[in-house]
Amino acid sequence: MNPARQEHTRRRTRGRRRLLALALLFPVVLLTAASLGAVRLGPADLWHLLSGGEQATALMRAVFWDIRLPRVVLAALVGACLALAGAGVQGLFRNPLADPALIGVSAGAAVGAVLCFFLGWALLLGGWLLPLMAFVGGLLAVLVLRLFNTGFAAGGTAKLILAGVALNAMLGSVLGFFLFSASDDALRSMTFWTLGSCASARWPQTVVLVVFLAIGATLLWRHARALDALQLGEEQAAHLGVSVRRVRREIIIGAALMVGAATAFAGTIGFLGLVAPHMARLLLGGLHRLVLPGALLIGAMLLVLADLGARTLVAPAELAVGILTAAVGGPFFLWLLRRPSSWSAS
Amino acid sequence: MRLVPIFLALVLPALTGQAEPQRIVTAGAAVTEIACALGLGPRLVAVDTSSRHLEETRDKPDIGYVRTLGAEGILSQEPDLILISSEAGPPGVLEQLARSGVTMITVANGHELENIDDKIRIIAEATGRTSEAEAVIARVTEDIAALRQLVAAGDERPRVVFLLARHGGSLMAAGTETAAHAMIEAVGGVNAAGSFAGFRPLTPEFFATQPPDFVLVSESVGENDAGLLEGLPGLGAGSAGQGPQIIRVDDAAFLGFGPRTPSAAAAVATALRRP
Amino acid sequence: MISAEPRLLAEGVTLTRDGNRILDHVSLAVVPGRLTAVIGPNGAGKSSLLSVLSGLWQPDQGRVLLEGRPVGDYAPAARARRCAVMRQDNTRPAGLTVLEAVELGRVAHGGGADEAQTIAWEMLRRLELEELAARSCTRLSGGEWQRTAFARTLAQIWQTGRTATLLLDEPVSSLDPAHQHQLLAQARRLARDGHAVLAILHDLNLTAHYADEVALLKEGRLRACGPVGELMNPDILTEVYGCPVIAVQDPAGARAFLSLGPDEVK
Repeated sequence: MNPARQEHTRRRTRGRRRLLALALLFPVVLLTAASLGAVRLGPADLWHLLSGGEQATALMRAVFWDIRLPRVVLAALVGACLALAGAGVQGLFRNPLADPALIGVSAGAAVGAVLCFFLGWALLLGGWLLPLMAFVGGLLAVLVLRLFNTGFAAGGTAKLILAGVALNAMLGSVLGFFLFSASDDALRSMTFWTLGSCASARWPQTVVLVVFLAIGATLLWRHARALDALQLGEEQAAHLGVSVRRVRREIIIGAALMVGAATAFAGTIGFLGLVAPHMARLLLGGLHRLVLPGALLIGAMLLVLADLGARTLVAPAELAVGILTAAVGGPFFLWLLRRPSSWSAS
Repeated sequence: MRLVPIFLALVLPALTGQAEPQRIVTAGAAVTEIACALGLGPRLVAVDTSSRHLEETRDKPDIGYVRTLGAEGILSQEPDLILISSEAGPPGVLEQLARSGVTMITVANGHELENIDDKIRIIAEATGRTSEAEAVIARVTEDIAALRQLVAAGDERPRVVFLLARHGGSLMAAGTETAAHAMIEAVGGVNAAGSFAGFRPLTPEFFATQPPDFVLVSESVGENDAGLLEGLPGLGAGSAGQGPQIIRVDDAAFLGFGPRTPSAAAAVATALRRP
Repeated sequence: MISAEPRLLAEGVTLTRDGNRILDHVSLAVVPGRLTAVIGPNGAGKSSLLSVLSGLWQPDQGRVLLEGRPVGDYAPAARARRCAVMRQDNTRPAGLTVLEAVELGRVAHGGGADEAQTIAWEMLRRLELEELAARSCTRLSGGEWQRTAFARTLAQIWQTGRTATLLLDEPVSSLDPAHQHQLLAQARRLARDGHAVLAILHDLNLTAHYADEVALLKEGRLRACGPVGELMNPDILTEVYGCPVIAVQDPAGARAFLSLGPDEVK
């Protein structure tokens, strides 16, 4: 085999092997995070808990199964949703600086949640009204974006980005108005919601989130190849046989569903949607059949680790996880950028 | 001779069929203050951030801000009783705590001086301190009576505004539906900022057209912010009786609706009546 | 000369943008087995014609038929399997290697990753680009990127038992003379193999050497269309381009065209 083929095969296998490594690392990170927390659970305790033995006290069981595990799982799902949506949006807009927030869904979800706090409805429907209003807010924002753009097709991607910026500005001012007019109680709840937290995790929430992640992942995975082709520009992608309008619509819908659901349950958590796909590309190359699953895994692991920090660093108190996503993601990202690698987008 | 109380402490709970909680976690300044007033200070294993201003609670582990608690953090303190104020949150965490099996009592945080009794009684019952509670309630009732007398004695109601500092260095005035508003009324004043609900930033016109007689300043307005006060037209340093008089208050005592509130209110009511 | 059914047929195509008439009743047939060159001055509408022929833009009047059916009737993937377009300036995909960029030509085909890779290697071999297979697209010279794009275009129409249509927009603009000949020779061989090839060219000599048919476009109108021998004529060319074009012949008989600047005219 000639040297060029050898080199290429090597690189291709390296990408696949790294993805496999990420997939194997994922359960390790999950288990580690599940075994750590404010309440000390030693290896013996974990064994008793997982095997259903009677030595596990009622308190231990409550902490592990009702409080800690749903929280770790929620963090993984939220991280996966945000990162996957980020990968889709970055591929679609051909911009590694794109963030799912560009399509307005995060700001819309924030407005929905803040409105709920403002009206004092946060406890209604067994606490489900809050995430519901956040989710609806996120989707409405995306619909408004579509209206601005007279159906996503017209005007192309550049116009879409600008419309997103305008929408975010408008929603920001609506948000500001609510914050200004809120009672002190509501204001504090609003502020802490917007900083993001996985603390109120419940198992039913994780089930809902799995459904949305599955829908979004399916929509995006179908267009992995199209996302690759789009890197040549929308015109050339169309010549290659990509239905650009359909791809754009479905990726935005998929991203909106995932970010809307994730934000509904965990508040606005920034940075992940931007950084995780980038990390995936640095490690795995530019092909979306590697980048999409890679971003999903990296996003999930990052948020699980950030949440671990949020609940242990100042225990028994809690930190807002949004502060930590930047603290965990930032330096790691910088380190990745410094590595010499011809996979990097230069 | 110490054996008798020890014996009683060990046996009594068995006799009454209910063990007194030994490890208590509190969230909410009023709740914590009441617990301390009932002599439960040593049994508090952790408190929230707003409760750590008391001498007894200064060094206790901090479970965080009352509205953003963490279930596991609280449970890691191995409490046998959790006392929380009604503003505690988030709701999801309270649910998790409820399911954990640890006794949790919620104390409603109203803006009525008369409700302080009820808060004391609820906490006393949950902790088996009903006898100590009577003394505390008696004191509180006395203080409320004294306050009411002071207020009734005055003929006109002074115009008062309550200011606190928000992040970013702006001054906010308390409108209706705030604890400050309730207290202004309780000390016999009229809330000059009563035209809106919640907190709003001040506008200079406010002080120019209808200056208040008194300005109650939260301790959150620090030394550096004093400049903010002076900068407002109509608000002077109060020299030679010109402009409103500035009175500093201890938030936790004055606005907490805990056992110290009636006496703190009486102090303010007195200041309001000084010529 | 076998006259075959045109693969791509434009009938009376008119296109207006912002009040400007970009194409004016242009009718053109792209026939299999022949390489058709479209030449003309800048702004003549050549690239716009390509956009309409490829189905990217709808004409205001007239229609375009691809293999007998209106080009807009095809689903994007079906159209892409029948007609490959190579445009002038494409964004270089960050994070993709040359081989991966060429594999993108197979997006419209069902084949699968292995088949795409095999075909891509074959295209790289034909264009002598194998050594660059593992290089990132962002690290190529302009010429190397253009040849990569051509390899991708070839990969797009590579299928056994079927010929297709190739539309090329200035495919050799960044190439050195040797590579220009290499690429256009490939294009002509494809035409001989039965594909229908259309190329927008600026170089008159290359046109004269490789094209079978020539279409002259000026100000949105088709000035002339016909076999290369007839149209590569100094008078017509001078008129179309608006600058003096002369033909020179070397002793061996090879004919070349020279365009002259205004001060060079005797």
